[in-house]
Amino acid sequence: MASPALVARGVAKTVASGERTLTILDDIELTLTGGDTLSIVGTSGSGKSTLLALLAGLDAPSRGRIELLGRDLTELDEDARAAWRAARVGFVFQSFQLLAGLSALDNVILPLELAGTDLTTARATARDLLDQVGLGDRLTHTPRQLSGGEQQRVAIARAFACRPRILFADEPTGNLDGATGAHVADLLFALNAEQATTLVLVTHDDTLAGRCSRSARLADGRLHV
Amino acid sequence: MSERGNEASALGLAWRHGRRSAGRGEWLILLVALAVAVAAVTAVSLLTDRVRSAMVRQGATTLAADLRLSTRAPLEADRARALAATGVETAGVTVFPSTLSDDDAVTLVSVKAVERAYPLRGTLTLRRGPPGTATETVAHGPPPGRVWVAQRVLDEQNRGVGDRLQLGDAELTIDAVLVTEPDRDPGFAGLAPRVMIAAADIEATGLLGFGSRAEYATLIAGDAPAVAAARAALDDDLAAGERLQTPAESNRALSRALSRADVFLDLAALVAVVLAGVAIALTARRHAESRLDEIALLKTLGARRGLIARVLAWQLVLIGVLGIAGGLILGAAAQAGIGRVIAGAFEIALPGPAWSGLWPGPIAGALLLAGFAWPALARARRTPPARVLARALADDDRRAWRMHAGAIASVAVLAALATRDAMLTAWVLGGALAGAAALALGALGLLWCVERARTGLGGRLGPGIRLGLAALSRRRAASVLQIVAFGVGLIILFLLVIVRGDLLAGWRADIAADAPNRFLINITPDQQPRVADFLAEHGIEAPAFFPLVRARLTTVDGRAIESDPALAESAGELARRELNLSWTDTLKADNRLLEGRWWQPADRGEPHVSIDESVAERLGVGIGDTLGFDLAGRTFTTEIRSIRSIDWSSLEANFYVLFPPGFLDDYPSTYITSFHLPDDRRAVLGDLVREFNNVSVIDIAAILDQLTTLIDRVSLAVELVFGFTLAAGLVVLLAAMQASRSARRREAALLRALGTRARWLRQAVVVECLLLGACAAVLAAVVAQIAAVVLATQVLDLGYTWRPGVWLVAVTSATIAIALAGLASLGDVLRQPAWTSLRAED
Repeated sequence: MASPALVARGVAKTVASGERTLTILDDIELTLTGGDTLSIVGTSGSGKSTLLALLAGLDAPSRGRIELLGRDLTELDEDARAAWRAARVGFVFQSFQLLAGLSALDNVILPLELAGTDLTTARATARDLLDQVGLGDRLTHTPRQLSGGEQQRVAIARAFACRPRILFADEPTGNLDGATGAHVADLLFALNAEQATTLVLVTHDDTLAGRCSRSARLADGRLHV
Repeated sequence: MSERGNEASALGLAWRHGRRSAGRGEWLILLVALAVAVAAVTAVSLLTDRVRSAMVRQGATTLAADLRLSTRAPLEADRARALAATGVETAGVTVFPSTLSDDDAVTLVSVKAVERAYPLRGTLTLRRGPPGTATETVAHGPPPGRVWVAQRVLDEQNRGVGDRLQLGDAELTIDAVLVTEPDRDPGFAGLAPRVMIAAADIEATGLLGFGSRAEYATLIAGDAPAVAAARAALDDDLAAGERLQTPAESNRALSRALSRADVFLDLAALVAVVLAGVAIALTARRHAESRLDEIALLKTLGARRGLIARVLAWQLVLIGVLGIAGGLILGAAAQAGIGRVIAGAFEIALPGPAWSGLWPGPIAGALLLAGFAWPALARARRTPPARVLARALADDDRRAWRMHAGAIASVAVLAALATRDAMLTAWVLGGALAGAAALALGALGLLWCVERARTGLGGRLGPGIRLGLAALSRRRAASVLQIVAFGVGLIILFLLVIVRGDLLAGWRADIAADAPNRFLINITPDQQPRVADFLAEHGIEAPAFFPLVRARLTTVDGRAIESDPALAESAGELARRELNLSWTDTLKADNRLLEGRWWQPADRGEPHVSIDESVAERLGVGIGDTLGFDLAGRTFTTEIRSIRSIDWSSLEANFYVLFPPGFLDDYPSTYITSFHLPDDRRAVLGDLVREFNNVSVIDIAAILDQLTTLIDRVSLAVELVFGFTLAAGLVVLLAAMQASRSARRREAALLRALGTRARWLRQAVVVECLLLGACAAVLAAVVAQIAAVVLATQVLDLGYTWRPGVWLVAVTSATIAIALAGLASLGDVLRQPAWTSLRAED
């Protein structure tokens, strides 16, 4: 059996709120093997995004242990976690998170540059990916010149640029209308299947959640698998 | 990746990102702020150097040279050769007293024999016709056989231009009336009217033989390095009794004018630096904030903190290189333009800019980026990557003070570099900090009042006003920051626009239009009441008469000057010439007591003296030390009881050594007085000399003219330099306005979307900006006024008068301007559909 892509053991996140301690997540247990697709659903404010941040190593848990692609993230500081993510982890966000000053092509090149890919190769890869998401003719457009659906397609191209082993998606269709959202989801799952990427998808859209092989619900700070 | 690979990658990323996002606002504002800062510092620094050299050049005309070597005999040939080897130009001048006698009139004259090259700096004014007719300026001495004389010589000797004049054994032709000469000594050595001849005619007069009382001088001029070389060469072998003087050293009023101008120009440079700091601080903060999302995203995508730091640093370096290069070009161009205007006004060629004056600009730019921009970016670097998921992640503000401390420290270093004057720097920076603190406190007070008004009046206010007040309270921190930023900009504007004029006027008033321009000396005690009556009869306001006793300084604290060469050297003129001693019981307005106490009744008749600070310094004496004098063989020792500072620019009669009344009563004294007499009434002097034929008149009108012209020109230069600083101040105000523009536009668009009427929004913005503007303007006016008084009295030593009316106008117009600018910053938000605006502001 392949080694687990993601393991969470007894993970908790608490924050201080005045004199009280607020528990956002508690006793999270999760194991994903390579190629798994997991949806995490829950109501607004249930802590989905916080959990995603912890699993991806964007934030550190207050308690517990998280292993990402065989590496115990809780042993690493923020900087080392960033280095571990580079070229291994991809992201798609609800609010797209494209850099406003950069063209579509440059936005996709960005993670490749950070991973040390030479610029010619990076350009070719980015062009291919943008072609695949149907934006081959919009390479030089900046985010402001693109619609929401187009921006998210650029973000998906960027997420797969480094052929990550695991992809985290935070409400990828949350800002899009039904038809556009469905098209974007199709692209996401198609690329995911093609690259055999492990996917962790946070959503409150049951249809989208239903496209994943596994599903978990977050309620009262606990994950019910 | 290897370290080198890492660096190349950071630089590559920085360059590509910088290039791609070059058109984005935040970059551009930071770049422009930096360029303006560098340009301001460069222009001020290049220009002040040029203006300073122009002023020194102008000042050189009061010495007719850049350097003057006084000797006891004509300059020896080998020294003359050594001088010539340094590449300077020289001209010999010999001055000696002589008498001219007509049938019934004897005139004591001061003969000045000059070489043809005289004057090396400045010009002589000559007149061929009677008083009032046209004059001409020449830049050479009289030709052999010709003589140029003062009008008084013609008056007293009953001669005219073209007549012959017997001087010693030589018979010379009166060629012209000498109206002004650049280096006429305003002191009492130059009392007698001038007779100027060619050096070649000295021998023919037979007036100079062994032991004659003549003063010899070699005038030296050339470019700065040559003059410095000449000075260095001469400094080494100065014999006893010889001395070297620069224009500033030779003329106290001039040196004071130059040092004041120096302070003004330093202030201009300092203010430019402070403004640059404010502009960069305002924009750097915004720039850093605009990078937070990008930094979080880069971290999410796997960028390490070190790489991000290097990318940010390289981008800053790129901005720095571009901004500094642009600033240097802009600054050099601006100073060339202003320089041309000044050169036109000075009517002399302004020396070319010393390109060594370019260094403060880039250093200022680098320090400002390091002190203001880098701390903000370094802080942004710590943004957690999870910000990509939830923006609300709070910034850690506890380290903010470090950032500001770094900024303030770099400004202090810059200011000290720019002014080379720690005291002035301390005043300006201390003032700026105190001003900013006062502004912040005032702003907090205003917001508290607004909050009270909002809760107290509530529903009774119109919706527009309510919205405006709410906006002020909601953006509490931003409002305080904005009031401080506006305030700092306005303080500087107020200081430049209003106070500058007042200070310069105060400076010009120093040489008042009615400053005394004629001195009467040699008035005997029995003549004194009659001379006073004569002046009163001729409508000249009763001037003060000062008794005068001439004595030689012989001992200092018991040491005889004669047998102490080192003491004689430092005493200089004080020991060589007879000193004018006087007595009085009241301290004149242009005298300020520095140490000790002024005369009490008990001092009457006691051997106590009050001395000028320069005497104390040169002789190395203080309170309680003694000075011994020799007055025609009678010696006496006196004790120093006080030290004064004399404002020589008052041009009134003043004395290095003052006694209490009573002590000098037994010694033979004469009286001296001074008064202002317009040129068109100069005939009165002729009558006066005829009635009191032993009284001598010293006419310093020409010297006074020269000084006022100089000050007028220098103050024009200062105003132009300040004009540039003023432009930098306006940029800061714009940056402050720009800083809140997007937040204001976004809020307005949102309120529009929520159904607020455009009229209310307009009202709200006007109310908010009026309050912001009024608060900033009133506080700035108070701080600027205090700063003005401190500057005038503590730094520049000038009087200052309040002008409430001007302040009212200034505060009102600043408030209205800020309100209008606020309204304008909304732009088309109020006309466009709300949705369009909201999308545009995303």
